[in-house]
Amino acid sequence: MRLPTNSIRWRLQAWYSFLLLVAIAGFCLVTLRLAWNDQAKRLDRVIMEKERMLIETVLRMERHMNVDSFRSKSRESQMEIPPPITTYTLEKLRTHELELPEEVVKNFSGKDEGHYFFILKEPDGGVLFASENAPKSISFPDSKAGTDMDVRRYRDNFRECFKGGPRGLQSCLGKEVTPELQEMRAFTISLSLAAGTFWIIGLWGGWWIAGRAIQPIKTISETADNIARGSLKERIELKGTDSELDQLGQVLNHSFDELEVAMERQKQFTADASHELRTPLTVILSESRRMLKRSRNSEEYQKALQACEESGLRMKSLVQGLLLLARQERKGTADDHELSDLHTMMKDSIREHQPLLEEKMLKLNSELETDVKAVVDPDAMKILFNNLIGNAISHHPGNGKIEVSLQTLDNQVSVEVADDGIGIAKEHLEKIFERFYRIDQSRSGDYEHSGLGLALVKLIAENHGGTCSVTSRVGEGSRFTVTIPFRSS
Amino acid sequence: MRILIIEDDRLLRHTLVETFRDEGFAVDGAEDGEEGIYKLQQGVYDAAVLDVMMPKNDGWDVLKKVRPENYTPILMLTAKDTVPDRVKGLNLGADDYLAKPYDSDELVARIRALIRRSSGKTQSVYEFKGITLDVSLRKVIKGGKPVSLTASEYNLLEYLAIHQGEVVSRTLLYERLFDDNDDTLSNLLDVFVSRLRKKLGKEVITTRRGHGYCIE
Repeated sequence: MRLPTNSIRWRLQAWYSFLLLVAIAGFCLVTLRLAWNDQAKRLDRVIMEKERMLIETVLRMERHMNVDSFRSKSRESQMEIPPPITTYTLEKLRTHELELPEEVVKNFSGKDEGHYFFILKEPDGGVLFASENAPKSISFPDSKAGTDMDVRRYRDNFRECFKGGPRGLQSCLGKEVTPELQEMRAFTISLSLAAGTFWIIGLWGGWWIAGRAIQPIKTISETADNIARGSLKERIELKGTDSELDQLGQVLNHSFDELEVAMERQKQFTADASHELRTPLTVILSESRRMLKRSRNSEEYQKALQACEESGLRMKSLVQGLLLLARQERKGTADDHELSDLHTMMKDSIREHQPLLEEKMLKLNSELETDVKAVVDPDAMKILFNNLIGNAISHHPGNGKIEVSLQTLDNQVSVEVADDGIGIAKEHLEKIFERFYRIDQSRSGDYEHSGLGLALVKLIAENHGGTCSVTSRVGEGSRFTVTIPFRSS
Repeated sequence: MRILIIEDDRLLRHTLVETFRDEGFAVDGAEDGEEGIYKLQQGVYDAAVLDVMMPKNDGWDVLKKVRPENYTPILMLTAKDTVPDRVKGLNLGADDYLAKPYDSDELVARIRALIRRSSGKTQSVYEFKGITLDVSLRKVIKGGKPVSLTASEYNLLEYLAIHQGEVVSRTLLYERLFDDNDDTLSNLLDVFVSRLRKKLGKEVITTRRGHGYCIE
């Protein structure tokens, strides 16, 4: 089954969406953090403002109570930064003699959203002075004696600023921040929504890009599929961008071209083979049917049977040739190769053809190097020798000579068969190694020749990494040469 | 009926010629395109069977050379039986197409049909003067009874029947009824005509002096 996880597009998409998610999440976290900080700073500023106001009020009251002593101390400093609360004032606060004016108290009262409160604590932890709305249980952060303390924190719905002096006096000024928290929450939600939207848009974009990147692969696979289905003419459409996929397409197209040529050749061969077989088959069918139609004299029967036999023999030689060709084609190289004595093989072949030579009054001169041993396919080599010698004999008009030579030259085995027969005209020379090619195209002349003999010779030579060639002159004879690279092991 | 077989394969040509001879045709063979063109151009054949793959002018060449002047119906007989091949042959002027291996009965029937069509007839049974002549069965019936005729007699009668109403000259008859191998003398025609008259009745074949014979 084809799982989506197997698809490149899916995997690309998964990785991409993961990375995009990490990036967006990171960005959002940083943004949120900054927003929180910013809000805290703003709140702190507001709280500080209130604290200043409170302290100023207290100081002003102190000044009113002790104008003389204050004035005698320093006139100038009075106008500057309010001095720290004096011990005197503290004392007043402890004894609750100091009453804050109405408009200040108003600022630190009620429990509405956004209200302020304050607490002043003694070093020993007792509440020195607090607004009436200050929460009862509030834990002050620890502070080391003798150091200044400055802590700002969120607690539940409150933002609280703690300050402590070296003398151990601690203050807390807080603000109820529900609206601000809600604002932040709303901001977080809208940020998450925006992030989610961007992520989805990113996903869609990624999917689209991945799809586009993969599109050529899809085209390639579709084309390949169509070709497999039989439309061999189809090719992958190239964009001409010379991209990696375009290059792949080019390579594949080239392979398809070669495949098509091979298939065409195969088709042509099958068509030729069937064409070649049809004629003798037609003769057999036609003659036998004709004979069966009515009774005839024995001479007619004999003639018809002769025609049938001749056609049968022709089919036999064709089928044999085709079979040998198919076998040689399948073999390719080196499968059945073994160290063989080519000298003996050639001698055997010559001996087998002796009766035919005598029949046509041909003299065969052989010049065979002894002890030529090479790694070849012995069956194929035998066919090669037989076909070369057999061809020389059967196409010879008679009364002449055939020369056969076998020799080793520069790491090559060379086999030559030459005759002084009719020769081959120039226009045929290139084609005689083609399958089913006959110089005498009318099949009347050589009925038992399949037109495959020399094609076999060529195929066998090529299977052994060698070549075959022919030189010829009309009326003087032909010389066939097969050379095979010499391999002794 | 005289037909020409143009086929390069010796054995196939032989069997084709003999098949048609057995069916009562006068048959000549040609072993390559060149000879085929030469013989076709003599214009003595009622039909021709033409092979495609031949040395010295293949089947296509033969068609190109003899058409359009020559009207002889031509049947292409070939191993090349793909549709483009058939279309090419028919476009070049072939009248019919048959692939090897053929069925000889079908081949003969097709040739007969070609000859019949080329003479403007649509059926294979001819009736005249109380005589029925069935070309496909090579039978002659008079008054409900079959009449026994020799091959030459039948061929003569068939030719005249097909060209009923036309005056057929002695030369033409001689050309169409006897092939090159036949050494029948032309005056034997008179002998066959008189035998036919004896068997079928005097009025069947009319003699037009100086012109030829005719079935009216």
